[in-house]
Amino acid sequence: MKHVRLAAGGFLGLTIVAALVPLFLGPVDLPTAQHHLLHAALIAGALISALLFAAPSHKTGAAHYGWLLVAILSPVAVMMLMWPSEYAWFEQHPGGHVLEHLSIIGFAFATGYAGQRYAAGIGWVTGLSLLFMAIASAWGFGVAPAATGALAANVPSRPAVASDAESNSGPQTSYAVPPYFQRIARYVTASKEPEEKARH
Amino acid sequence: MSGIVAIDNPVGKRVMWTYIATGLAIFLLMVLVGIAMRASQAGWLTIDPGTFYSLLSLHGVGMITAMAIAGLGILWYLVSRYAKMNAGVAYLAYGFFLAGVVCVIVSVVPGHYGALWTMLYPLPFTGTYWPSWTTGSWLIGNSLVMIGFMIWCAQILGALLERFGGIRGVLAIDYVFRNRAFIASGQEPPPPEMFAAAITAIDGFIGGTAGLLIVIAMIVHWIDPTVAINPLWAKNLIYQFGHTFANLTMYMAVAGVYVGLPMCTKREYHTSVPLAVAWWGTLTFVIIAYFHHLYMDFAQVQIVQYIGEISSYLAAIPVVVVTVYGGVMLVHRSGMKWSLGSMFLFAGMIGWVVGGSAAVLDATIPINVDLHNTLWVPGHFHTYLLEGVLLFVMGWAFVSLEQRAGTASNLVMRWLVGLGMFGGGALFLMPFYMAGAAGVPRRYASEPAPGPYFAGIATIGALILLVGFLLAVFEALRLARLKRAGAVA
Repeated sequence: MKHVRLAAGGFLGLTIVAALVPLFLGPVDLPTAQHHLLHAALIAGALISALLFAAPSHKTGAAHYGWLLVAILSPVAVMMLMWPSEYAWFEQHPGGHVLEHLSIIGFAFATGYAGQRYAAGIGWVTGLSLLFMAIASAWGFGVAPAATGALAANVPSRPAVASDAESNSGPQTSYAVPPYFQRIARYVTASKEPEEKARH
Repeated sequence: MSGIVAIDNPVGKRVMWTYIATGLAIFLLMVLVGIAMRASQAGWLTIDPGTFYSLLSLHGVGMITAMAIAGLGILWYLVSRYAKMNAGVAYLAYGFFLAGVVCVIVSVVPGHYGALWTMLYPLPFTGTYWPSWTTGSWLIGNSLVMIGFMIWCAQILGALLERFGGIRGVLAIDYVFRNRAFIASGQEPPPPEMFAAAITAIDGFIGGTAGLLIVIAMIVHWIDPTVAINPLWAKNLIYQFGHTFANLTMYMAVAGVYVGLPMCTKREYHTSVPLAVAWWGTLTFVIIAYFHHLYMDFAQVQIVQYIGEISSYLAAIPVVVVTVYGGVMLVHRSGMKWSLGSMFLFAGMIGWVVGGSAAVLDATIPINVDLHNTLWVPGHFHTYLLEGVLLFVMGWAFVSLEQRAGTASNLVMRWLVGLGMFGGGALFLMPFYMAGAAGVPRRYASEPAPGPYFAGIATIGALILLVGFLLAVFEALRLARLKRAGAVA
């Protein structure tokens, strides 16, 4: 048991070290698909360590359903952190990038650990589910062939929300927080209807 | 694993009836929507195209969700007879389902969402006649249903893994590969309905994963339109979830046959090696059969088109043959008395075979060339849902009520309900197939001839079916009251 705990700690340590890499590399410019896959590698490390850490001591009927809720909702949080249009900002801000990585690792760990605490085997299921989502993202989430026809009409000729112009302006942009926080805040306070109508 | 005995579980029954009642209530609402749409296609009712597509979106997602909720309730109860289950988790999943349904209704009724259940990217975002928040409400509603479904699947799978000793026990792997040693050791394989539960939970979780990924991607695109999505990737994920979820509704409900038919025939439905292997086929192939929805997507890798065709056969045929053969053998010379419960269960097997055959025909590439996106497609899935899943759900509900009340419905009621549900059902379904064979396209508010003619016949059939369904509901309530009266006395 002690060896398992040591291995779990080792995996978690290695994963956290990998998450810190942006601090050493500085600003980078990665293709979105590759960035998704690197996040998937972090997720895999966190999951392995969570599964090794978790001793399924509770029986299914007795386990608190909160564990299950955490195991099912954490992958949603991870996928939200893998918001593709924010990668450009994170890649230019190593500190924020590391925080993003640590958050991904935290939620991935929670996915495996909480699932396994709910019932033996469920951590594997929820963990593999999250890993699949992260890997599959590389083929379509913020990654698409050149748009033509109706699809081209769907890609805004200018940023759909005001902050896009700033967030797309490259390395020199500097915000205190990732732009999606601003974008979501503006989205809920201002309707996009007039812009959409204008586009159509 | 020896001595596998079912224990009646009153808490499980409450969960089951909550789910069944909710599912059937949503079903009734969706029937009314469906009748309105068919009447509109017949030219008997004026519904503007925008409203039609909104109603079609609601009808599509609502019907599948309704049948799934009812089926999940049955399975939850059946699993709770063998394994320790927390009813709180069932109600948590139920809460997610309800919240999702409310969001979907809001997006359709005041919001006029109309990109159908398939919500194929970029349709919900491009050229829309509804406001942006409507698409968001639709996507969030769908994601809530998916999360509820995944909670349900995880709970069932956890319970089964614990009760039957891991995945080897749940899938009866030792029972199949080391049969003699397994039997000699005094062990028993899981009962047949546990296979239905396990396959629903495993494939459901896989489908939920695909569905959640695409819905999250679309929610992100909704908030930030600069995030592009690969349309083919999106379509694969949507159909992986959609096809799997719709297909699994049958496997949820079929568990009721494994338990209900033996109650009617006073015989046991045993797990056998062919039954276990057939369910492995379903487990493996249901999740990849969806490729048959993408036959006309020529950008798709060609090999998966063949995989889609082969998987469509292997997912359905073994389990249908083994289950229906077993069911017919149970009934044969059993002296079973026909009640509404046994009628529904038996007729449901026929509906499963007919709807499944029509589906497999359509999944055959040379035939699909002619039938793709014609009314043949709704023909097969309406048969599957209406004369398969619904009848299994109602069959199980009536068998339970008849057992509780210690009596069954009289001959006149059986005839009236039978004529309505089966006769009206046939009259409703046949026009789909005939119009489909004539090449009438599906998903259009107004159809070319002979579409309107067949839509008229279908409307009459659906109205008759509705009368039969309402009679059955009243009869169910009567049987439920009988028990209560008996209990007081």
